[in-house]
Parts: sequence; structure tokens; C-alpha cells
Amino acid sequence: MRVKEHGFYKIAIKGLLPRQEHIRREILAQAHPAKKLPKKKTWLTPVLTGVAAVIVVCAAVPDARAAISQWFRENFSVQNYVAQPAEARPSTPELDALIDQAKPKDAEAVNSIEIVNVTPEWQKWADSLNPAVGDVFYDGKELIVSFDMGGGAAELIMGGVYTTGAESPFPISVRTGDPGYIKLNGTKYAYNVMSGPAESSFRKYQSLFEEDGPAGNRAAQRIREADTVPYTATIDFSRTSADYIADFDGLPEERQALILEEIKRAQQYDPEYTPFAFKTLPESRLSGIQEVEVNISLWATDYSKPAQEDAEGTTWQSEYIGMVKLRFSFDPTAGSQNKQIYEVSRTSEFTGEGTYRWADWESDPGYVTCTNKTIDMKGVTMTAKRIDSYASGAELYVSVTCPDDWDPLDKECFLSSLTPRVLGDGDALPTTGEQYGLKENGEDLGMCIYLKLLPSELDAIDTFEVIPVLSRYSGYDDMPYEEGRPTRIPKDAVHGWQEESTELTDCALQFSLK
Amino acid sequence: MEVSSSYERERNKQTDAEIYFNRIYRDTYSDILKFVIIKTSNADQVEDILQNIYKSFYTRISKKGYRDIQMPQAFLMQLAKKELSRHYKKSAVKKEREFDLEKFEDLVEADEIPFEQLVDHQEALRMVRDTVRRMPLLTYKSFMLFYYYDMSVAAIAKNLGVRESNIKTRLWRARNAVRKGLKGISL
Repeated sequence: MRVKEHGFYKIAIKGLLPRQEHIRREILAQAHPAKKLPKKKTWLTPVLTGVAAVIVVCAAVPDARAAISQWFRENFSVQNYVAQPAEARPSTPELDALIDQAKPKDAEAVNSIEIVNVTPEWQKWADSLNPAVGDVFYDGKELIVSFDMGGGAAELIMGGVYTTGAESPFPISVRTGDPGYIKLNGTKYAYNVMSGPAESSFRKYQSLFEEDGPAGNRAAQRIREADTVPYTATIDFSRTSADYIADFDGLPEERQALILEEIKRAQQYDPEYTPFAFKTLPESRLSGIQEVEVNISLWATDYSKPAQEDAEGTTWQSEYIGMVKLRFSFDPTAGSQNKQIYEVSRTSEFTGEGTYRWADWESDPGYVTCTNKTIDMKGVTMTAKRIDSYASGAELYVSVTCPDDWDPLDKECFLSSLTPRVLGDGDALPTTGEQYGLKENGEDLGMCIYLKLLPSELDAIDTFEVIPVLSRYSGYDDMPYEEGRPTRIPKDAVHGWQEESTELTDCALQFSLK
Repeated sequence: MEVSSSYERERNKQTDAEIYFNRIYRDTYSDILKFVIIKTSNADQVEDILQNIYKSFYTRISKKGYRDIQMPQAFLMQLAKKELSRHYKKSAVKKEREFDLEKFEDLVEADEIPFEQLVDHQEALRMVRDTVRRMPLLTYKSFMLFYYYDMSVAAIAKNLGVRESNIKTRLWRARNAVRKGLKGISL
């Protein structure tokens, strides 16, 4: 009955909430800025009229038409040009440049990184940076390049964590922007680049800020100790940038004007920003060594100063301060060669008693019975089998086995109550998901934990620790769970269980890849 | 083909800022609404606050672009905090009109209410909304977070900075008040 009540209240109070679509429409209606249309090009009409007049004369007067045709034949004969040996053809610089541009480079280019186009007040800070290109990975879809930024670490770290502000010991933060294009072998392509700090390296700062608040001493101490800051830039070759404009001339005038304004703003910090020149390149066309250039803007926010505000009440604090110009090369045919397998094969044995969530969905038609069960965990083992390292992350394979004499339902419920927490040198590592069961090739995954770790970050970790975490029921809706008393409820009414969890640190597994 | 061309026509009508805004609005709305419900000092102003937050966001990206906004969710959170502090300043002197729940201490069992039959009953739905709207602010927040966002009592207590028992008591009273009202509705 309580569940029906819950659902009823949910339906009833939905009417109390603001109407999402209504608000969106209101905002767009109110806030759409009035844009001035560009002045009409009054000179265009007489010019076009003149050109049209010449064409009409050419077409209508046979003598004039013959003379013009003869002149073109003498000066621009394709047959004559092609019939010559390549070395004997006269040089045409534009054509030569295009051919060179289309050819992939046959030698690996030198990777380089520099800070350019810096505003004067940030020049000293930019000079203190010592950036370096790290790893370059390509998995057939995404191209990931890592780069380190030495110097200016405090500002860069603050730009990578959510918790920042005037009360922080480091009130200035510097963040990277996301470019809307890349240069591939000198030609611009409409691929968006996601740039930012390498997640696992920043998670530790974020965790400390969350625990201690923005002025936390532990976070401040670690930021002071940091000398380099790892970043990644990711290009997804399966998606083109939303800014790509296929047919500018075919757009309505008002939209053209808005686009021109956007370009003008973008060019304030990236003089090369011209979306009309962008192209899209199917992934299958990538062959040979590719040279890539990416311009990543840097934005600083000084929280110790008041935000700027214009007459209409729009506030902002971030200011463009410079640009990271990143050049590197990669071989798209390398593909999955970037995968590296680390065999681990380390096992830990569980000890003591554990309380886990137990639920019987089968024996009572239409109902489920839930309770917490406590079991002697002697005989349970956890094995870290291996880590597969890829360009975009790592996969840790862990299997847990229970004693053969356990009831199958107990075993199933115990395993489903168990989740692993993975630490790298004491810091919690970011995970993006877990998978159980069999792979498509039939391999038993056991438990596969996906870690968001670049290969270089994986290499940097000395000790890994896998801590099993066992969860149990603590309540249902707002009613506390009555320990030891099974709850029988209709199957379709299962809703709102709360849980508590215990880290089984005595059963943790430690290993190293070195 | 027809779908594709109508999509193109629609896209051409929108500015890049609008396209970006619509995407971010769709992705962040639920979380920002929850944040505003948790932080607001006046339940009646949730819609206004939300509108101001997203209006500031739209104005900002229309004027200055969005290329420097690396984490839109975090950016909107900052705007929300700013808007809420403005809202606190405005409403600091206004005294909250609260609904006294103590008078509903007589327990009404859930079994006494035919919830299934009331789902389409407009008077019942309106009664629930009116009762919830007039609840004390903390009770209103607890009720919305528990029943709409399906948050656990522990999570609500943590977000609102009070003890779990406080939330449980408030939910119990609120529920009882609503049940009392529903009991009086004739089907």
C-alpha cells in the first residue's frame, strides 16, 4: 500500500514543479538578443549586372565568342598540360601545395607544444610553464594525446576541480577550452576536441576538497607539492563539430549575421578560427603518418576579484589568457597495438563474518522476500586476474569464488552484494562501470572493472589495492529495516530500499604491476 | 529524406548558442531543479529562480560564446548559487507563511485511502498540491526530494543538514496531513 501511496504523491506533486518546456520557451523568447542585420551590399547589384552583360554579349556576338574561346584554348589547354611528362610540366605552386597537403607524411614528425598568443599580464606565468607532449593513442575511433604542464601547477589544478572560489587558498584557476577544429596534415577539419585534466590525477584533489571544504589544508598541501599537471586532449573521429557549417551561402541572412558575430568573437583568441574552411574526413581515409595540430585556449578566473557585469546584468569572471599550440603525429594503422596486458594473478582469502543483501524472487509467486543474512566468509577468495590497458582506459578483471557447499541463492546474493573499490597508491581510482558474466568470445569476465586511466597513469601507480565492499539493507522508504525480520512485498512494488555498506579491509588484495 | 530536410530547416532557424543552450538545458535541468529545491528559502519562487539561472546562462553564451565553458554543469551551479544568494537577500525580511501540521497528529492509516482510484481525481491531486505547498519549508523540501526525486532519508538529511530522525518525523507528519485531507474527498 505504501508504494501505491508513493506513486500517487509523485504524480500529484509533479504539478508543483516548474514546467520545463515552458521555462525554456520563456527564456528564448525573452533573452533572444536583437541582432542587427548586416548592411545590404549595394555595390553588388551593378557588378553582377555588368558580369551578366558581358556573358550576354559573348553568347550573342559570334565573333566575340570565337575570339574568347581561341584565347582560352591557347592559354589553358588541359590536354597539352597532361600530355607532357610530369617533370616537364610548368610548375603551378597552388596545385603542388594541394598535392603535398593531401599526401600523408612518410616520416614521423617531432611532437611539440608551445604557449602562444599570451596576454601581457599572463606572459610571466606562461613563460614559467614547461609543457611537454606525452603519449599519443589511437584506438580506431578516438585519438588521445596526453601532455604535461609543468609550472603554474596551482592555478591549473584549481581549474580542474569543481570546488574553487574566493575562500580557497588558491583563488585563481586556469582552465582549458575545447577547440571546434583540428588541423590534419595542414588542413582544417571539423572535429571537436575535448581537453582537460587527466581525471584520475585530479580525483585526489577533488576528494580532499569535498572532505575538507574549499579552504582545506590537506588539499592545499598537495597542490603546493605538485610540480606537473597531466592533461589530455581527445579527438573523436566519429563525430564532427556542431559548428561545422556546410552551406553558409544557403542560410538565411539573419543566421549568417549571427554566425559571423560568433566567428568574430572566436577569432579574438584564435585568429585562425574560420569554420567555413572546415571539412569532414571519414575515418577510413586515414592512412600513413598523420600530423595533427590543435590549438587549445587557456582561460583564467580570479575569484578574489569581483565578477564583471555589463549593463544587462550578465556576469562573467573568466578571461582568455593564451593558447596551447599542440603538434604531434600518429599512425592510424597502429590501432589496437596500443593494448597492453598485465598479468596479475593475485588472490586474497576472506575471513570473518559478512552481512549481505538476500532476496528470494522465485519461491513465492508474485512476492519477493528480502532480508539481511550473515555468513561465515571462510573459503571465499578474490583473485585479480589481469589488467588490460588501452588508449582510453584500463580494464581490471577480478573473480570472486564462494565455497561449493554454499546454497546457490546465498552465493548469488552474496556476489551481487559485493562491489570492489579500487585504490592506486592510496587514492580512489575513477571507475566508469562494471560488467559481469561472459564476453562475446565466451571468456568468463568474472567481474570486469573499467578504470578511467591513461596507460601513462597506470604505469605511474606503484601499488594497487582492491577492497571488497559488502552492502546490506538498512531501510525501506522512510521505515528503518528491522534486523532479522524478512520483509515480504509484492514484486512490482519493490521500491526505495536503502543500503549501508562495509569495507572488508581485512580481505583486501594488493598488487603491483612493476 | 523529408525528416532530414525538416531537421535541416529547423536547425538553420536556430543560432549555435540556441542549439548549445537547448542541449545543456535538457541535460542539466533535473539536477539544477533539485539543487534549487534543496537551497531555496521560498518554495513559491523555485520557478522564478530557475528561469533567472537559465536566462543568465543563455545571455552569457549569446554574448561571450561558450567555448571557454568546459564544465557547463559546474558553470550553472555557480550561476545557481549566485541567483540563490540574490534571492536570499530579497526574501530575508519576508516571514514565511507556514501550515501547522501538529493538528493532524491523529494517525490516518494508508490502508484507509484508495490511492489507485485517486490517481485521476483532480480534486485529490489539487488537495495534495495545496497541502504540500503550504507545508513548512523543510517539510516541503523533504517531501519533494523523497517522493519526486526518490532520494533516501539519509541522503535528504545530508543535503539539508539535519538529522535523519528529523526528516522521518517531518515526512510522517506531512504524509498524515495529506492522508487526512484525502480521506475527506468523496469519490
